[in-house]
Amino acid sequence: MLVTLASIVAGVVYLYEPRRARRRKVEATLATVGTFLERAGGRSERTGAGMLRIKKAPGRLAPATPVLVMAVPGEPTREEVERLTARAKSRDGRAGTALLIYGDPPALTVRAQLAEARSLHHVAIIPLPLAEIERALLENAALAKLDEYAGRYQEGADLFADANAIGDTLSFFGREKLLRDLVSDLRAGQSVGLFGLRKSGKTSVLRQIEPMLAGGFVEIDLQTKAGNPHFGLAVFFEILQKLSARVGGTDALAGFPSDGPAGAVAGDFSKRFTDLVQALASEGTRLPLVCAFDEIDVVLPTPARSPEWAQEFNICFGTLRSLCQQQRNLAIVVIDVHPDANRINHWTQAGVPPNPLFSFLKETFVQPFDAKETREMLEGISGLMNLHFDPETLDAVHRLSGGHAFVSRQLASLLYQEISPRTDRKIPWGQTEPLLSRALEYSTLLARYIGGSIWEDREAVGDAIGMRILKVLAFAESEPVPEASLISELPAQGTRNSFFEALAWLIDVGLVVRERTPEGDRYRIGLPLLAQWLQDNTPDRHHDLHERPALR
Amino acid sequence: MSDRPFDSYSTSITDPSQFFGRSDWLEKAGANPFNVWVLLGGRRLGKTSALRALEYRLMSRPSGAQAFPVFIPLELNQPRDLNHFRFVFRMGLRQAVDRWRGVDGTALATSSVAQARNWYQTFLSRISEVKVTLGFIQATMKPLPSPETDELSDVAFRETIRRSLDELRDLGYGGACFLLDEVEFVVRNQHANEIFSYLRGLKDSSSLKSQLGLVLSGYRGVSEYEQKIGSKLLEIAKLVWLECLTEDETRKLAEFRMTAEDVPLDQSAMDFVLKCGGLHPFLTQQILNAVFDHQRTEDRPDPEALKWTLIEERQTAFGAWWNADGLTDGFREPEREVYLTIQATGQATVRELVERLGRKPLGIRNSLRLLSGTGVIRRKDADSYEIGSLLFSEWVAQMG
Repeated sequence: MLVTLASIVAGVVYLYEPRRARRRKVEATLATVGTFLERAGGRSERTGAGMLRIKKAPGRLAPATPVLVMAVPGEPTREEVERLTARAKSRDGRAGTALLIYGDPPALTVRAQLAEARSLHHVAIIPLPLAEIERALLENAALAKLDEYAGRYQEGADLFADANAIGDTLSFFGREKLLRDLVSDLRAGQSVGLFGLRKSGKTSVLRQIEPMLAGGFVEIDLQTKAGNPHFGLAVFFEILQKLSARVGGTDALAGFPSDGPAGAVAGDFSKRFTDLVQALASEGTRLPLVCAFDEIDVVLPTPARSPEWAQEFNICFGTLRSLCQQQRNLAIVVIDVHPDANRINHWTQAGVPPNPLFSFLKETFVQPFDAKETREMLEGISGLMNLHFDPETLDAVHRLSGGHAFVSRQLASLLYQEISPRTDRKIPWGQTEPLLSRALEYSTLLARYIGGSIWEDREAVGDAIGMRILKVLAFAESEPVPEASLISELPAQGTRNSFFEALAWLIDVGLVVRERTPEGDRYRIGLPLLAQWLQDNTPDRHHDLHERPALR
Repeated sequence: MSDRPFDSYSTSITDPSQFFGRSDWLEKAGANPFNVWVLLGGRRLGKTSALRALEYRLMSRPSGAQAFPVFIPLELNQPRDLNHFRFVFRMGLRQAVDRWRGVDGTALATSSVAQARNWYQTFLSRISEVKVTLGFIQATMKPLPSPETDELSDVAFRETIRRSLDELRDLGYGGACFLLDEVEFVVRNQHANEIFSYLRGLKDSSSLKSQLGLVLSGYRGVSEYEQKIGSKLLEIAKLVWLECLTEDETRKLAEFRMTAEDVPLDQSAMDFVLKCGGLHPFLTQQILNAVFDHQRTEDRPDPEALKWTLIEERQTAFGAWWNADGLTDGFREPEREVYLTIQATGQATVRELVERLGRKPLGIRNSLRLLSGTGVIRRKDADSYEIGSLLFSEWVAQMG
């Protein structure tokens, strides 16, 4: 009988434990959301299972008060969105607003449901990732985060046109292998260099790996260190400040200077850092800690910089490298367009030791999407906006953009702005083709991006060989171009080595595509819009752009 | 007339009731004040007036979602370097909030349009920094005070900005929108890259990005800087080129002036104003001044003589726009070429210009953008343009 009783109890536990675990998760999520809303200046109360009602909404949500909030620790289901929509619908016919806090991104069909909630039921559902809420709490930026999402999902917003790095998982697509490999490398203690064209998604990738590293992640934006000769110390200070906030106090910063040369405090920083990391580890944070440095070109010791500047760089990153290698409690991620931080051995400044990051980073490049990923991205975003692109348009956008995500999104934004107001939110091929064929004329933003961020960038770094390769491919009468033809176009002073080095970078960032054939390697341009821009701005491929004013 | 406001309409318009046009951009910027906007336009096209109009709009409609505007004239406060720029930025915000408090900004929430307008004039006149020429307050422009330490480190800056943003929230604003006028003075600075990188870093920061807006005004220097590397801030900016007013807007402006001056204009006088001014706001105002004075003093108005008088008075400005000697930031050879081609027939499409000049469409469009952004041609639709001000056109013809 005892055995039977035990079996019955075990059976009941077996049946109910998953539900209890889920309920506990929901409660924990609701508690986090409640704290978030409170820190943002709002007042909320519980209302039903897994829900809150914001009685006093702060910031941009204020006019929408009361706002219903549903917290879903995992992936929201259709039923949950239906329940939220029904509860948020206003009885008096006014538009309702709701927040959907989710742990995992909803499926495509559920995203479309969010758009339908707005168009059919007049309920604006603002999806907000739980990871972003947790990050905002750490950075004391709750209201800013709430305002950001309220603004992003306002009526009529063009979600294609977001020019900032993407933290919103609903707007982030593809890159699964890249994310997995990055997280795997970093967890193994391998420091990484993440490189790629401007707007290729480097910072967006960073935003996505952060929650995957479960609390062991600190990001330092070096842009705010621009022009600061003591940037090394500023970096140390910010790292300690952010780690201190996580272990619940700022004692770790007591007596640490906020200005001065990094050399004076490197040892002190290492000790304080190690103590903080150990404190985090004892609270469950998985090591190594990952520290990401965005826009490292801002502090890189270019020839124009002083020896003191180069020294500051060496001390800062030499200290961090030492923590990575000797203590093994740190891995770093360096983000930039070019892999210079990893490839420059000796600085030009006389008497300064070599670059501590030379060959230290595993180089990873952010590449364009394939056709499937482009289609998923555009369909995913258009689903949130209740837009419908036909398949030919999606294919044409992918072809024209070469899969470069920013370019695809801007093309989609152009079509949305120009066509959808006339066609009840449908984007048919018959109307898109004339626009896409003159995309650079109609979208000054795209023309600026290609002419400035891509072409001018090549000029700024003195990549004459790369520019020649791109021009040859842009003007090629037939594609792809055999390798021998490309090499024959080299300037007289170019070497085979410099040719292949330039070509390798172009392939790594997706500006050139290599096709391996039995007859040898052939190449074509990876961004057809760049070819179009070059054709529109150069009389012919033999005419160097340097000899004439740009954009004539 | 000596008591015409804004120095006979030669300085920026700070009275909302006398500002016409730009409603599209004001609507968009007003609804999205935490974005980064770059407002481009030639000299005298009304950039500063547009910034002031946005300032008034943001200030007079406080709500949880609204931005507190901070107007900073960079010509007066030219930043030496990044640290000094941070100081200028911070002091601009501090002074604007102090002025707002000093004029009881809390009353704005319940004020009528006329009351808000009066409040705004008082707000502007409070700091002796703005020329508010309503006939009773005259002041000269002064730069921001420069105490012994007029530099601000990143740490100190962020701390004070965060505190100020908290204070603004208590006052009913969702953040701040900095209106940086004449960004040319930053672009020319050797520290321009650092300054723009820093601002981009602020906009990327989680805690500040949705509470901080930027509107930068400028002309060619800013446009060309934007096309070069280092303009990380401008990568995330929405670029807007101002153009001439519409005919409807110009007529409304003229009607307002007629009422203010108590001088009616008949159809032929109005046609004269529209043709000679080409809907350029500054030229239109100056032509109206001359027409009103002419009507008051001449028994038989002589439009032809008046036209040549106006051309003569504007020679220096036209010369700067045309820039034949290459000494100003005005037109270059490509723009002059396009203008002359349009002038020959009065209008042209992009395709026609491509064929006639043997240039590529993108280059042609860039030239057209500069010309319409200076107000000497007008865009009819996405692909065609027509000649603008007759005064400028005749002056160019005289130059041979």
